[in-house]
Amino acid sequence: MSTDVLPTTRPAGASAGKPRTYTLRARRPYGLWIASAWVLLLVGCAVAADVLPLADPAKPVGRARQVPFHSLAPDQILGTDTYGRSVLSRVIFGARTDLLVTLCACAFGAVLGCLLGLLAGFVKGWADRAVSFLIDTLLALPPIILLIAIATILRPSTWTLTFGLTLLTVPAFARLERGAALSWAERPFVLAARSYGASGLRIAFRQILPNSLLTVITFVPTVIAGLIVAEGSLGFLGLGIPPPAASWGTMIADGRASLRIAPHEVLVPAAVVFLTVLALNTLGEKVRDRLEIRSRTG
Amino acid sequence: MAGSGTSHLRDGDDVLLRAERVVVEYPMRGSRQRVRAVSDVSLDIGRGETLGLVGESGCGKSTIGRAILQLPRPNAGSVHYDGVELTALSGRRLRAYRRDIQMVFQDPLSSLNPRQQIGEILADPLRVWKHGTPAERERLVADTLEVVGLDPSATLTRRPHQFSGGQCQRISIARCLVLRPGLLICDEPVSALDVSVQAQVLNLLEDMKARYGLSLLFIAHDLAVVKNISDRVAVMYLGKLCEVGAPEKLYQRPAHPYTDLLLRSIPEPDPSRPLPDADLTAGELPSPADPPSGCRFRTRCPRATQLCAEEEPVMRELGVDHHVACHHPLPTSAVPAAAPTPERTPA
Repeated sequence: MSTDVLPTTRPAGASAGKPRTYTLRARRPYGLWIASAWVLLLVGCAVAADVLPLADPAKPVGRARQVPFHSLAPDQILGTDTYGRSVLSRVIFGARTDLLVTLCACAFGAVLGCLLGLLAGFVKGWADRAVSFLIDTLLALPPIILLIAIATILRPSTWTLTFGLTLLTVPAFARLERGAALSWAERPFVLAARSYGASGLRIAFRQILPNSLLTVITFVPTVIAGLIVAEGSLGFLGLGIPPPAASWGTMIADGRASLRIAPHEVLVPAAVVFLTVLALNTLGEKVRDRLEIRSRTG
Repeated sequence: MAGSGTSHLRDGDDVLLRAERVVVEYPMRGSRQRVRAVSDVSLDIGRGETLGLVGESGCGKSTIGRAILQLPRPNAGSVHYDGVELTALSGRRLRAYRRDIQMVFQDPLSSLNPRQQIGEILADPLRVWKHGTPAERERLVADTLEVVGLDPSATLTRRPHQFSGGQCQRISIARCLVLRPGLLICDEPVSALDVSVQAQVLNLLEDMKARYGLSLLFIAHDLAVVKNISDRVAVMYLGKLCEVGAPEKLYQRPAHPYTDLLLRSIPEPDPSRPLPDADLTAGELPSPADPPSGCRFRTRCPRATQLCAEEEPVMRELGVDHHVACHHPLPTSAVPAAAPTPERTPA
């Protein structure tokens, strides 16, 4: 887009030649593209893991501790672990476990947290005090200790892990939703809905929730990134998914023993975790930037 | 001014709304003290009448509008609507009466839910009250949009941010009208609009009033806007009523010094006209948390005397349909003999 500048304000040097034009061009969002591509690739692999020509992640495919690229066979391209299992296959099946657990935890946490936050932000008063107390209590417990306690009391399983991670996300979502609900509840359209006789429940779910949900959704990638890290720490402590199933955390934990002779056993899953968390955080940030502009006009 | 008293209220069947001695208090942050945003205000609106309510920012105009809707419920006083005491109702019965009183707000865009289509926004009040079948609701919504001057086919499926301020205000008015209310509370409905659009929206309100037999409470800070639309004008200052009267009387012969000050503050495109006295306009609005004793206007009033600090003036009749709450009102032609001057203070 070009803009003609008024002659009087045109710089002296530019007055002789052709009129100066100004181009307004947004920077191309390469970061966003790369991050989306990585996340899509990961999700695609995790979903299609059964159809892909991959070895069974729980069974050996060759000699133990083969370094990556020693053979270009798809099963051995990223090497093998201590038991001779394919690292590539385990990373991809691990992605499936990880994404499933974190997505479920995030979804449960979001639903529970949003309901609590909506209650606190819309009803206020006693509800706000009760919910805030609950959130503060959950936040006061160190997350790792909480997760260890849950994994110790309950049998370690995928569901136990999901439950523990859900507890971690509830306070974050509840706080986000509470803040958003508080600010949306002040808008005149909410007062208008009251004046035409809408019930509190109807206002909460039809007027406030759809608006405040936007704020909450933009934090989902960031929350999932945090959960992947939490799953990694738990797996590392031996409290994650029980063997022989693969998850990134358990892969890192299993590879620890042979870190000196076969570092790829730790480095490959660690790199995947790093890239995924980075991609999700980038995605979350960019999505927030975009939606913020839109919510200001709409 | 502090006008307490109820002598300006009328009796009879043609009074639609009668709010008496309404008090609204808000808790103050970090203290046990409470702010009286509206303090002992009484007003009434006749059927088919437009009451203009003016005053500067923070004087409690909007608060009284909301108090009539019981949002929030006033701390004291009564609100009588069409023979029913609203302050005594609660729950579903109150919600049923509220739909007879609808409100138009100042900010056109944030009056509408940004995530809903206009069709949904307008149908929601009808859905709440299970009015007719979906097809009937759709027809009613489309008809109402046409009445407020919008093309339904170009409006129904759009969202609020796709409309201008004036169009949003028309949509807000349509949302009120689908319920066929008896009273429309307009809380500065044109203050956020361009002057040319202001006139359109004011004309629309006049048309709707005639078409649906509405009564209007028109809240504004602009006397000029209120003058043309109102049958009666009430002036508020710091949570109290100062003067109530027919616009022609109030505008030509203001009795209250504050009304006089407001009228003289209306800018006129005439350079030969002297500017208002600088002394008159000086001074900030005192805090409603700590109002002056006696008459609340005395700190800025040129006619204030000792009496004004000691005793709160009560609303009294100056003439037909002209009431003032002032110890020393300006002389009006209606009651030349009775007009007291500051020197001869009536006890």
